[in-house]
Amino acid sequence: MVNTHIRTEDLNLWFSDNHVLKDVNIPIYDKNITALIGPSGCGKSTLLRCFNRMNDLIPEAKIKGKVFLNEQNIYEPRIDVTQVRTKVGMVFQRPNPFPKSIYNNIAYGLKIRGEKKSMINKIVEKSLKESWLWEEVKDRLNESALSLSGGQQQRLCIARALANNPNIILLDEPTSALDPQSTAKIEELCIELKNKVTILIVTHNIAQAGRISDYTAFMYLGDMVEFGETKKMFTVPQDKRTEAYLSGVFG
Amino acid sequence: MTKRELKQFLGVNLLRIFIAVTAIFLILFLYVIISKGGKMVTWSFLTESPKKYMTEGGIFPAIVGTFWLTIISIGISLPFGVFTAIYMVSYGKPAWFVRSVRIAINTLAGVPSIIYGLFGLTVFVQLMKLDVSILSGSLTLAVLALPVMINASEEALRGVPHDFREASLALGATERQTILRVLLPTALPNILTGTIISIGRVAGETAPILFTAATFYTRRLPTSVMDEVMVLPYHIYALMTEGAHADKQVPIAYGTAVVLLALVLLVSAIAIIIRYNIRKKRKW
Repeated sequence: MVNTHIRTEDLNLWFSDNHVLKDVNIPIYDKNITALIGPSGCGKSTLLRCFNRMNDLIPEAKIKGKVFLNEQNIYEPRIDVTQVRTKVGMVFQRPNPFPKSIYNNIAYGLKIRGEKKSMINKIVEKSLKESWLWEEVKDRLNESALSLSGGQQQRLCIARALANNPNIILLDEPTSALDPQSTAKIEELCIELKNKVTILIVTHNIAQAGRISDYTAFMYLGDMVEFGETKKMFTVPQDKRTEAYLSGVFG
Repeated sequence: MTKRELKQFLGVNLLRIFIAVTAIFLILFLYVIISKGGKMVTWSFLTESPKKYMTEGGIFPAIVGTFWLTIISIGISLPFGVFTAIYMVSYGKPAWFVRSVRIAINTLAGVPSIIYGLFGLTVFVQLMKLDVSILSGSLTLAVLALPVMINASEEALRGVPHDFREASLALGATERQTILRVLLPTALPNILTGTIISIGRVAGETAPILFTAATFYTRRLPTSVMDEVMVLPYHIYALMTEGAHADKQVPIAYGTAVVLLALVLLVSAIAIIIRYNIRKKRKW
């Protein structure tokens, strides 16, 4: 049996009066890929952003319930949010490298924690290798990250997250802005990375969830409708709504 | 020609006439100033002090005075402008407070400049006992430049994509680190453009320094910020309204105008070049 890395306990979230997450209970297993699927507006991205407290940035968001990271509730008052976000990396829908050099993009998380220069050099190389970008950029680390292609930028964002040496990486529809080839590369990369980190991916693409994930959670209108092993859910969904969504009746 | 084609023809040519009139005024303006003052501008005009009750000599002290007033006032208003803008963009709470600040800024921007002069006289010269000095004048000009500076900085900061801020925070950076390492460096070029435009505005103002910094005539260069100084715009005003040798003073006034105009245009040109370079490099 695999260990539970994150789990939520009756997690509720409101944006003003809009009840976006309703009593969500989900376990995220260690060193596995878990996919969050569901139609637009079902709350999957919002749920993802609960795991590194990015919803804190939205003033009208109100959260009730608990999110345990290694059995520690990250919504407790004494928790240092910056520590949580270091341990839980995030990659966004649109590649968002800083308008800095390739090197400085990766080094950013290390510099803000005051790492030594020699250490940073090592980690930059390691992270770029882990995200399969090293060969493509090793001769131009000082060029602007914005000169890279969309797919390369997204892998740079993954490398940037990896540089913090996180236990978990959250991916918010990381391939929806990319071409099929770049998408395939990122999918392969995710499968490779799960040896090292726990991966949680929000995707609109049902086939993608089927290809790469070990577990899948289907959300609908703020409810966690079904959670289980991807293979099982994709062959024998338990809930009618899951079945309808997977067979493309709505979405 | 059909009716529609005729309308199109007339419409386009009407626009051409308007643009031609605008251009003619601008060219005429430059022609008048330069033809009357251009020949006055020589090396000695730029580097010598006025002589014989300002009927001869150059305008060097006025150039120095304008230089210091501009530099110091921008030096004061830049940090105030940037920090105010950072607060409004990054924290912006409570909403009613930010709204009042914004109303205050916009009101400040619409106040006639002579009123800044009176304000400076009351507050800096008299109340704070700074006398008529570079410091009083710079402070007055700084207040004048503040609205422009805040608006430019705020626009520059808001122009930084939200994605960058999220990326930084998601990597475990604090709000302060995000502002210092991502927001400000990204917005800096545009803040600089705003600053340079303010320099042009500040360098050309006469009314705010009338009672706070400017002096009619001094051969001495300022040695401290507590000295009063000659300044270019006021020098023109003084030459045109005071003294008894109009025939000799008026050409000097036009010569001074050419220098002031050249300085302001130079500063604007720098702003345009910077902006052009940013747009060329920017890819988001």
